[in-house]
Amino acid sequence: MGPELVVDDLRVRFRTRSETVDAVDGASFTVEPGAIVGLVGESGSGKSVTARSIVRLESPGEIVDGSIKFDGRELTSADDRTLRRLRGRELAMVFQDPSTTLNPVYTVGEQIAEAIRIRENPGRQPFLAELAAGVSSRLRTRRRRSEVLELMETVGIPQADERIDAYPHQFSGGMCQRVALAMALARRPSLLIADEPTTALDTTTQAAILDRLARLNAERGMGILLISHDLGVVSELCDRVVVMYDGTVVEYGPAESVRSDPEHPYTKALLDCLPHRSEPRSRLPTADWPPADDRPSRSDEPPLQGTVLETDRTAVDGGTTATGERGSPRRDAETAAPGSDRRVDGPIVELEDVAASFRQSDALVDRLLGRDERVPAVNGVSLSLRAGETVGLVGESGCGKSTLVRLTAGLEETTAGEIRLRGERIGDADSRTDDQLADVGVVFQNPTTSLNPKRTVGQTIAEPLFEAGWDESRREDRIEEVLSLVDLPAAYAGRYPRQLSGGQCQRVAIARALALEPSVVLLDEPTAALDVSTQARILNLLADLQADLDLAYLFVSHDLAVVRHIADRVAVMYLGQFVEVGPTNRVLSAPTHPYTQTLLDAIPGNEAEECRQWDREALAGEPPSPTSPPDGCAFHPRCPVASEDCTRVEPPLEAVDGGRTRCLYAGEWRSDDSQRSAGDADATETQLITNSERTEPGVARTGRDGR
Amino acid sequence: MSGDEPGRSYTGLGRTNLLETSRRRVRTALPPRVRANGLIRLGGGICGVLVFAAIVGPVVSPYDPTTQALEARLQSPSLAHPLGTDALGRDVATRLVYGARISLALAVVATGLRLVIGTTIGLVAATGGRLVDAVLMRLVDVQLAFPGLVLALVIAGVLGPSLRNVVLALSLVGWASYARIVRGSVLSVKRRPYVQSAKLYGTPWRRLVRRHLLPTVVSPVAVLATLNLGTVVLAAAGLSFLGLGAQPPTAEWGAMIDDGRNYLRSAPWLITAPGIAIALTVIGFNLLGDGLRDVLDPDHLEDTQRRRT
Amino acid sequence: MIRALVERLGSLTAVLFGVSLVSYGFVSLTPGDPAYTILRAQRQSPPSDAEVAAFRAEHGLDEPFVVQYVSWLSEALRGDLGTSYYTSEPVTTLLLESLPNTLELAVAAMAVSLLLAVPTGVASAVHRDTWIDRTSQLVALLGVSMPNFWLGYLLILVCSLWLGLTPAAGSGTLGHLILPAITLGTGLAAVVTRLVRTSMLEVLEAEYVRTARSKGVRERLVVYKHALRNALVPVVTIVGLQFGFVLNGAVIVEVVFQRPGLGTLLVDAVFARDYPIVQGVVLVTAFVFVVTNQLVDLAYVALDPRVDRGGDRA
Repeated sequence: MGPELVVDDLRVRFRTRSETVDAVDGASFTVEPGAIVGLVGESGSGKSVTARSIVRLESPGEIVDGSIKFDGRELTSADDRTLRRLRGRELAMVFQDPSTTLNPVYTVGEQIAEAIRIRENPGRQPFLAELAAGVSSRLRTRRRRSEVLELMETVGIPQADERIDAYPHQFSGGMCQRVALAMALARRPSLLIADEPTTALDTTTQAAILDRLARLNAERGMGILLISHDLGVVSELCDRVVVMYDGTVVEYGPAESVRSDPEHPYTKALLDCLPHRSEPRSRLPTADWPPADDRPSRSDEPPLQGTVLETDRTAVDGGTTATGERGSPRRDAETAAPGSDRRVDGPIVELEDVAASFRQSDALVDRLLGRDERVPAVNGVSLSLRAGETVGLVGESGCGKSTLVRLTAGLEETTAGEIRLRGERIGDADSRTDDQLADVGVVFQNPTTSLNPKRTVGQTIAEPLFEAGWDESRREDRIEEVLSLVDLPAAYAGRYPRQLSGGQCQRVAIARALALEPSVVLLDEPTAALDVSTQARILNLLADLQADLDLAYLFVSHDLAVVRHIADRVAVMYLGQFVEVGPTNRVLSAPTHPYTQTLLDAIPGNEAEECRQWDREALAGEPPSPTSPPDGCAFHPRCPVASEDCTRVEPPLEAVDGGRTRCLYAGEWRSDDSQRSAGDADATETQLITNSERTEPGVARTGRDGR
Repeated sequence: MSGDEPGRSYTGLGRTNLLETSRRRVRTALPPRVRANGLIRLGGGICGVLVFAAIVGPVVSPYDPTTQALEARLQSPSLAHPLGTDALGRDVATRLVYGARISLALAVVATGLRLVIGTTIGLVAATGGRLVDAVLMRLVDVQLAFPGLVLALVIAGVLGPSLRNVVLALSLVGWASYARIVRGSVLSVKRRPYVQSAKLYGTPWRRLVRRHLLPTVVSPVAVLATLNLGTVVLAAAGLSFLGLGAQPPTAEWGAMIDDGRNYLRSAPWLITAPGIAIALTVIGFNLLGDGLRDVLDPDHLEDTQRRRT
Repeated sequence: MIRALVERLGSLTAVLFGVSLVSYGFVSLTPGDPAYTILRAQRQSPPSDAEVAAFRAEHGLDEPFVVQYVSWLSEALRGDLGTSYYTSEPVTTLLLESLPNTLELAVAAMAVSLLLAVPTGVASAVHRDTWIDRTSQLVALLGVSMPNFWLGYLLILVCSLWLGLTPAAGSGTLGHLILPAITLGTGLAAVVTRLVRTSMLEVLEAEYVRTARSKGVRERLVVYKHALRNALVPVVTIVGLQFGFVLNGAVIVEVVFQRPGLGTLLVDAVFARDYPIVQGVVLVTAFVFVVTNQLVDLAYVALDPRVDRGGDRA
C-alpha cells in the first residue's frame, strides 16, 4: 500500500499588520494508506489552512511548530526540490472554487498535459519549452493527447475529444472541477487532498463528483483527505473523520462512530443542528458553541465569551433539546401578530401563469435593428401563498427560482400572467402603493451585500420606516422592537455591518424586512452563505417569527434538507417551470417527478430510504440552455426513465397524488423503474417502502396541509 | 442572478473570516494601515511645505519676481541669491515661490472643474435612461479619443495664450475618467441587494442616489482627484513651456524652464530649480493619492485583505 | 462574430465622427476673425476689409459653419485636408512628411519603456517589500513625476554637452533617436512598472497560481508562464491608452530636441493660426490613437481567451 500521512501538533500562524493569529493551533491526525479521511469544521476552524500546509502552500501563514510526515519524510523542513517532486508525483491537491483554480489563459488540455510532463520529469521543466507549450494551444504529440484524453474520460468529461482544446471559461463549474481532478490524477498521486471540492457546485454535480472520488479510491487505492464544512458529505464518503474547531482537533475517529456516537460536545452540536437529521418543523438544537461565523468579527472590542453568549440568547434560552417548544415566553405574551388586522382568508400572494424573459443582447445594433431575442427565465408559473404558510422553492442554479422571487418582489417585470397581492393585481415596485410595498419583505442570499457598509444597523432598519413616513421617535421604538424580534441587543443599532458576523448581518436584513410588518417575506437562499450552526439559529428564528407574526414565507433554497425542515409545501423548478408542486412530506418522500428524485438522490450523506434510486453520475448533466429548450419534456435529456414520447410531447402540469406534476409518467415511472432494475434487491426494497408510505397521505403533518 | 449560486458565497465568507474570527488574538504594536498613513503623511508634508512656501515665500522675499536687474544677470547660486539669478537678473528663488502660487492654484481649479463636470456626467449617465447613457458615453469616448495635451494645446492656442485659457483647456480634456469611474461604480452599486431593498420600500430616486450611490463614489473620485492634481501641474507646466500658458514676465515654472534652456551650459541652475519644484509637487500629490487610495478605496482595501489571507 | 465586428465598426464610426467635429469645431468656433489675424500677421499691417473678404471667400470662411464642416469632412474623406494659409502647401503632404518621424519616436519610446518596465514590475512584485521593490517603486515615482521637457534638457546637458555622446538636436540617425526616446519612454516606463507590479501582485495570489505550485511547477515557470500572461491582460489595455500619453509627450519632446514631426508642426501652426494644419494634425493624432486602441483590443482578445468575442458585455 501507499505511504502514510502523519500530522502531529501542527501550528500555523498568520501575521497581519495589526495582529497575529494562530489559525491552526495543535492539529494531529493520520491518513492511513488508501484511506478516505474527512476533515470537518466550520469557517475559521483552520481546516483549509491545515490542508494547504500539508502541500506546504500555507503562505502567507507560517508553520511555527509541529511536524507533517509523509511516507516517513518530514515536510515542514523539506527543501523546494523535494517539495516539487512530492507535489508532482505523490501529493495532489484539488481546491475549492473550480472557476478560479484553473488558469484562464491556457487550454484545459495543456494544463493537464503540464501535470503529466512534470510527473515524468519533475526535476527538469525546461523554461523556454514550457513557455512555448503554453503558447500553442494544441497539444503536439499524439501520445500526449491520448494520455490527456484518457484522464479526461477517467474523471467523466463527456466528448473529451472536442473539449480538450477548450478554455476553462467554456466549462461549467462541475466540469472545471473534473478538469482539476484530472490534473491531480495526472500525477498518479498516492494521496489526494481535496479542499471543499464540491462546495461551489450544485447538489447533483456534487453527488457525481463524490461518487467519482469514491470510485477512484476503490480502484486505485488512492488515499483521500477530504476537507469539508458539510458533515453529510464527509460521513457519506469517509472512513475516518477529523473534527476541527478553532484551530484544534476536537474529535478524531471512525466515521461511523463519530456520527452515531460523537464524544465531543462540539461534534454533537454540529450533528444535531443539521436540518436533515431533525424532525421537520421542529426546533433545531443549537448548542452554545459559538460558530466562528456568528461571533462579532473585527469588532472594536475583543470578542469575549460574554458578548458571544449575549448575542446567542436564543441558543441558550431555547435549550439544546430538539423540542418544538419555544424557549423564551417573553414574546408570546407581548406580540400578538401585528398583521392580524389586515388578515384575509384567501391567499395573500397569488401567481397565475407568470412568465418573465430577459433580453438576450443589449447591444446597440440589435436595438437599432429591432431585434429582440428573449431568453425565458420563468414560464407559466402559478402558485399561491397563505398566511402562516411556508412554500419552499427548490432547483438547480439558473432554474429561475431567484427570478421568481424578484418578480414577486417587484424587481423584475412579468412578461405574461399576473401576480396578485390580497386579490389585487400588482406590477413592479415602482407601480405599487406604499401599503403593497410594506406588505412584502425580502431577504437576500448574501448578508454582507444586503446591507450598505456605510450605514449603521439602526440607519439601515430605519430606511423603510422613513420612507413610510414614520417620525423619529416611532422609528427608534420600532428599531428596538425589530432588533429584539431577531434577537439582537438594542445596542447593535449603532454598529456597522463590518462589525457584525454573517449570521448577525442576516438577522439585521431580516429585521429590515420585518420593519413595516409585512405579511409575506420572500427569502432568497437566506442561509446558503452561513455555517450550519448559524443556519440552524436563523431557521429557528424564522420559525419563531412565523409563529408569532403569522407570516407567509416563500423560501428559496438549493438545499432540500433545509426546505424539508421549514416548508409546508414545496415547488420544484426546472428550466423556468414548476415540475412538481405538493405537500413537502409527500413530494420529498415519494416524488412523482423524476427530477425531484434526482435532487433527492443527490443529497450527500442522506441514507434515508427514498434515496439511491439511480446512478448519480448519470444524472449530473447540465440543464439545457434556456435559449434552446429541448422539444417535449424539458427534463428528458437527463431523465433516466424518459421514453420516445417524452422527446415529443410536452407534459402538462397535472394533479397527481395531492400535488401537481409535469411528467407524462407522473408517479408511474416509480414502479416501471423498479421492474427494470428488478435484479437489484435494494432498489426493489426501496420501492416497496416508498410505495407503502404513499398509501398514507399527509403523515405527521398537523392540519397545515389542509388549509 | 446572484441567488442562484449555492454555496459560493459561503466560501467567500469563510475565507474572509478565516483569520478575523480566531479568539486568540495577539495584539501587536502596529496599528493597521500604518504604511498608508505614512504615505499620506509624507505626501501631505511635501504639499504642506509647498503651500507654505507659496503663501509665505513672496512675503518674505526681498526681491520682486518680475523686476529686471540686468547688472545681476546669470549669477550662480550665492547667499544673496540662493538659487542664482536668470538672464534678466531676477532672483530664481523668488520666482520659484511665486510660481508655486500659480501652479497650485491652477491645479486645484482645473482639477475641481474636471471633477464637477465628470462626476455630473457620470451620475447622469448611470442613473438616466439607456439613451442618455449611450449618448453621454459616446461623448466620453470622443473625449478619450484625443491625446489630452494635444487637444489642450489646440484649445489654449486657439483661445489665445493665457493662464485662464490653460485652466479652461485642461478642464475640458480631463473629465472623462471621472465620468467613467463614477458611472462604473454607480452601476455596480445599483445591482447590490441593499440598493434593491431600498427600491422595495419605495425610496425615491434622489434619496437613493444621495444615500446609497454617492457615498460609494466619493472615495475613488477623491483618490483620482488627488492624483490628478499632479497631472495637471505637469500639463500646465508643459503648456507654459511651449509658450501657451503664462506669458512673460509672469513667474511660472514651465515658462522658467523655457527661459532657462538657452543658458543650458552656462547656467544649468535656471532649469534645475523649477524642474525640481515641479517634480516635488507631483511627487507630493502622487504620494498623497496613493496613501488615500490605501485608506479609502474599498476595492483596493479588499485587495489588500485578500492578500493578507 | 460578424455582429461584433459591425457593432465595433459602428461605435468606431461614431467616435471618429465626434472626433472630426471636435477637431474642426474647436478651431472654427474661436473668438476673433482668423482671416484678419492671419492677413495682419502676413503683411505686418492691418489688412483692408476687401482683402479680408477675399481671404474668407478663398478659404470658404464666409459660409455657415455646417457647410464649412461638411465640405471639409467630405474633402477629408477623400484625403484632402486643405492647404496651409501661409505656404499653400497641401496639409496632407505636410502630415505625411511629419507622421513617420513622430511614429518612429513613439514606437521607440514604447519599446524602451516596455523593455524596462515589464521585468522591473515583475521583479518588484515577486520580491515584494524587499529593497528591489522599494528601489523600483521609488524610481517609478520619480519617473512619473518628472516633467519630460525638463528631463530632456538634463539629458542634453549631461549626454550631449558634457559627455558629448549623442547629438543634442535634430533627427535622421539612430543617435538622434536615443535621447528623445529615453526622455519620452521614462514616464511611460514608470507608469507601466507600477501597473505590472500591481497586476502581478494580484495574479500571484490567484487560486490558479496556487494550483500551479501545487502541481510542482517550478517557481520561475509559475511566475512567467502562469502568472505573467494573466497579469499582462490589464496592462495591455492601459498601455494602449498610454499611447495617447506618448503622443502628448512627443509634441513636447520634439520641441525640446528640435525634431521635425507632428508636434513641431502643430506647435508652429498653433502660433501661426494656420488652422487647416491644426485641424489636420488633431484629426490625425486622434485617428492614430483610436486605431491603436482598436489594435490593442485585438491583442487583448489574443491574450485572454475569456474575452467575449461577441460585442461589449453590459
